[in-house]
Amino acid sequence: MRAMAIGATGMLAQQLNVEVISNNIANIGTSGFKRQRAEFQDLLYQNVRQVGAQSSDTGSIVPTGIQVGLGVKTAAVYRISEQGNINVTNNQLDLAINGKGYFQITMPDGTTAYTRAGSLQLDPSGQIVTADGYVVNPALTIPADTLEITVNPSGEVLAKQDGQTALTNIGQIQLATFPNEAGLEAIGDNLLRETAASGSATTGNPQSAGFGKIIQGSLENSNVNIVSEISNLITAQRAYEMNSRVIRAADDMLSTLNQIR
Amino acid sequence: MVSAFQPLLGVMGALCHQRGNRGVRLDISALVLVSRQDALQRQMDVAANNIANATTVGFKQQQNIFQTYLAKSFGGDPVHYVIDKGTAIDFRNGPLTQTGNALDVAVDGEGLMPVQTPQGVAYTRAGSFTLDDQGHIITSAGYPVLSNGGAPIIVPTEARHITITGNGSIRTEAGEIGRLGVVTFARPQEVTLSGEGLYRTTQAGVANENARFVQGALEQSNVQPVVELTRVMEVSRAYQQTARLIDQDFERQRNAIRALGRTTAA
Repeated sequence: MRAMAIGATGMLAQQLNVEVISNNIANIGTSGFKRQRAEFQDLLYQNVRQVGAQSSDTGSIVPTGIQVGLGVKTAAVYRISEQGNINVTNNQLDLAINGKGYFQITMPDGTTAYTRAGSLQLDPSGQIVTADGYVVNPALTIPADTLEITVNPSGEVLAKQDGQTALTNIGQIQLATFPNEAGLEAIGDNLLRETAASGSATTGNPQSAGFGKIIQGSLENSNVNIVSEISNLITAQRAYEMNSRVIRAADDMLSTLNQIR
Repeated sequence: MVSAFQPLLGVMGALCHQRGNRGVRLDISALVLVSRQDALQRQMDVAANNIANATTVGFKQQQNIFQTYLAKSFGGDPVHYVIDKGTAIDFRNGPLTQTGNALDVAVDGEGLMPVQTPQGVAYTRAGSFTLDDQGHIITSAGYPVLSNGGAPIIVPTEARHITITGNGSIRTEAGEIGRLGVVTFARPQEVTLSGEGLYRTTQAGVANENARFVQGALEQSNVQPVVELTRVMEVSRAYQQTARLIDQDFERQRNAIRALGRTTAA
């Protein structure tokens, strides 16, 4: 009986759905986090009676065949790169991106990772780093006698140094965009990595064509919508239950068969 | 030995020639019931697949079509067997849900959207599209979505916003980059399912100008879980009932052989 295996595919799919939803809910307070969605597809079909097959010598054909589906499979779990809300923190090194683009981060192994989480800090040498201490690329070093740091919407970093009236231009923050943002690989710690699916990075200044702008003193909240996540969770749980009912019914039918004398 | 079997053969002969020599076989009713059980199993499989896909975007439920199959029995009254003639796809629209994702497209109206697969053009209702590394609009299984002209649609990297209008026109700041197509078929019952949310047919599609596209929304599966679960229970009970009938039929045959055997022997 196929119904049992079909019910099992349904339960597996809904289990994954619940896992994805719970990860979204767990990260509701993670700045720069993008919610994920599990996408399902019907599995393959068995052709019991082929549609269009000839059903008589005079050339009449079968108008509707018999196709029995074999359940459901997970097609993808992908990130939805919708803009998150901007949350004002007034911390001068909190940078939010409004629009497209990712900060480029140089990892300890020399590779580049990408993030939307702009809660940046300074390391002992004055370099701008992430909360984990990884250097932001292009590297920017803030002089020790800086009183105030200003980052303008187009990513220029300006320092007000002690005893000077004019602002000193320290450098330029650059962003990266990808043809397919959903194809980036999440490696944890709010970081993403380029893959074959994402396409190669295009770097450019904030506010130039195709890039978002920088908002200083703000952080981008996660784009998780708690109401829709909870309603999805309820749907997933009920769908799980329904599939278990199917398995039970199929089991009942098999036990009926066993009882025929 | 031969004499011991004589009465039994007499019974069989009597049964086979009852009702004015028209003849009826003892085991026909069991065979009819088995055909019913076969059909019920198929119905269960289809209902299970519908339920498993109750949350699959763009999924269309299937229904069984049963027919009686008349078979002659030794010149007597014809016997009605059950056979399943087909599974029909129910193409009714599913409910739309808002997702706010720019590349989620729902079709409001009849028709299927063409996509390019290695096996040729296929069609889908699942509008949960993404981009690939070259900016092609692709389905969640990775097949390029085709425009109404039959070409893949490419979103330029520098595009910031994608707008899809009601008539399927896909626009960025730089203007239209393509138009989504939706086609209908003269004989929708000949469309076959091939998994991954795809439908296939050899028929040429006819563009449906009345269909509207809704950006930021997805068409949910049109499976009605309540109906399907009721069906599952119904099938399960009907199966038990049929099994009971088979049991009773065996009982009837046993009794007939016993009773008639005794009478003839006496």
